[in-house]
Amino acid sequence: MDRTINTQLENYISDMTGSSVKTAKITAAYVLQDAELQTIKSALPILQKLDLSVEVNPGILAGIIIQVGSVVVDLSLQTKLRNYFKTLYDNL
Amino acid sequence: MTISDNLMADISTKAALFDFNKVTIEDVGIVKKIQDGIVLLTGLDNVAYGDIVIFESGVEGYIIDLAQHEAGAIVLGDYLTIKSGDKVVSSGKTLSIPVDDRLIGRVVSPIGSPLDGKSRINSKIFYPLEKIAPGVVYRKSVSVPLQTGLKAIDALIPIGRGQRQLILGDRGTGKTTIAVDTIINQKGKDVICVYCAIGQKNSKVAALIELLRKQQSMDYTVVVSASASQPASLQYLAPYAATAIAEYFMDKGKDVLIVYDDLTKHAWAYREVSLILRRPAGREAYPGDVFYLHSRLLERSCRRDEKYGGGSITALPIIETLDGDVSGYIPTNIISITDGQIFLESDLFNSGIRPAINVGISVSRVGGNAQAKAMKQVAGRLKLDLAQYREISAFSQFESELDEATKTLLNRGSKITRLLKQNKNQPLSLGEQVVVIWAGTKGYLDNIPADGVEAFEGKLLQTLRLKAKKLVATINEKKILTEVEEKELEAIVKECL
Repeated sequence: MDRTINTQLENYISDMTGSSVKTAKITAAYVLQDAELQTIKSALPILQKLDLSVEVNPGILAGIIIQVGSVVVDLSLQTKLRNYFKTLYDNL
Repeated sequence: MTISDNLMADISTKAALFDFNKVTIEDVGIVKKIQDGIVLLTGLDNVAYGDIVIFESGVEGYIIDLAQHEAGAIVLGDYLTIKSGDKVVSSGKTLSIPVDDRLIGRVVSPIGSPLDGKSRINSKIFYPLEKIAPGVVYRKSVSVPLQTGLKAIDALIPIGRGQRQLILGDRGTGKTTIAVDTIINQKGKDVICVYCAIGQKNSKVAALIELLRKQQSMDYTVVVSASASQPASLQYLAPYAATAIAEYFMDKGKDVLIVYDDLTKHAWAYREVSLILRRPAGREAYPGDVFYLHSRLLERSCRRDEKYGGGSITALPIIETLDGDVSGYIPTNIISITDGQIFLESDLFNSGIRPAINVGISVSRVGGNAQAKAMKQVAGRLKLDLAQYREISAFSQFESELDEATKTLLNRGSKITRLLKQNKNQPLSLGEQVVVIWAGTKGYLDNIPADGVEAFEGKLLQTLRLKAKKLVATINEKKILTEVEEKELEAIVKECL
């Protein structure tokens, strides 16, 4: 099935069943091992109650991005570098 | 130090301030669709109306529409840099502008970015653009005059600090000139001026800033500009940003003068934004809340009681009418909101009466309460003479067939009308105005020819400035005209005849 249709269906079903956010998405730069996932879960207890989907995106260079619904905690190196770049070039 | 040394020092300070270990929790969304400057976003579950969102390119957006699965934001800047699929972050802040004392003398955009090529205003204080106007309890009635320096206005349609006075007229009748002359006249009067240019030509704003600089008025003026080439969203927000800046100074107990030039273009910008948002169109395609657009803006201009901080904001909104039609939608809206209006007519302008104020239908609902006593003394007679003149001016063609009394009235009236003319960018102090009008109402002009009035006034002002500085200063200070002064004035006026 096309990916967009998939996500739209998921949204529709979750709306119709009146459920609040149930899944969390973790993006990492490489495939995370179980031990590493456990460390993350123990740091953020809320993740233990939600379904986790893990994605691999080498583009983030290092670190992880955790997204629950529309709330994001961005701990990736790519974003840090981008913010650093912005601060240096701000108002120059 | 060389330029590159300065640059390196600047970058090093910024680099030192950056915190690598800072963790932020952000509310994130994705751009779904972009349509004429309105961006539709998904995600952003916790965003509220009026929040600021930041796009990947750094441009900000203002949430203006909330639907079940998407939010609509207007882009406060260049929307051509935004792509579908871009990430958007909620800033958690409602729309606000950084305010600081250093704003004085600056030219800024409605979101606070500098337009005069100087450094950014870095301030920790942010004032919200949308704010509820002070309630009834916090206000005090208007009783302190705001001198415009224009004889016709200060004598007949006086403006007080905290009043909203509308300037209404066709294009090219001198509306901006009146506002700018008022700003120039505030020199040394401890009034901060804010000039808000909405949808103006860049050349016009540049010329205006140059004029204010030359007259040393930028020392107490802030210019907020969203010119015609700026997106409609910025033109829509410009007057609110200017009012936020004015409120900052009012909160410090200052008196502020704010000029909105002009609200017609503001209504057009808002109509554009509303139509793009597919909101239902009403009369003349304006959205249903176009009255609220201006009423919530103008209600924020008030005089505040000292108990609650004092200070005042006097508003001079400008409206451009089409073909003298003051019964149009937007003009009637604003007439019902403001505390009076100044009508400028093209006929008067073209016949040489400048400022082209139609004194008969212009009104100030604050009136004499906001007039210095000296001015009240001379203006009462002036009003009467002019009113009688207007009644019978239609008969001025039959002058040879009229009785003496009518001829005197016509003569007096036409002399006074000429006396009220004034060159642009040459405001007069209270004392000078009182003396000139006093000379007119006492009848000293009755015997000089009609085209001699201007020369007489020029001579009178020159004499005052050279020989009678003390007298003028006394009138300016005491604000009253006693018999002693009147005798002195008589001598001076007779000298000039």
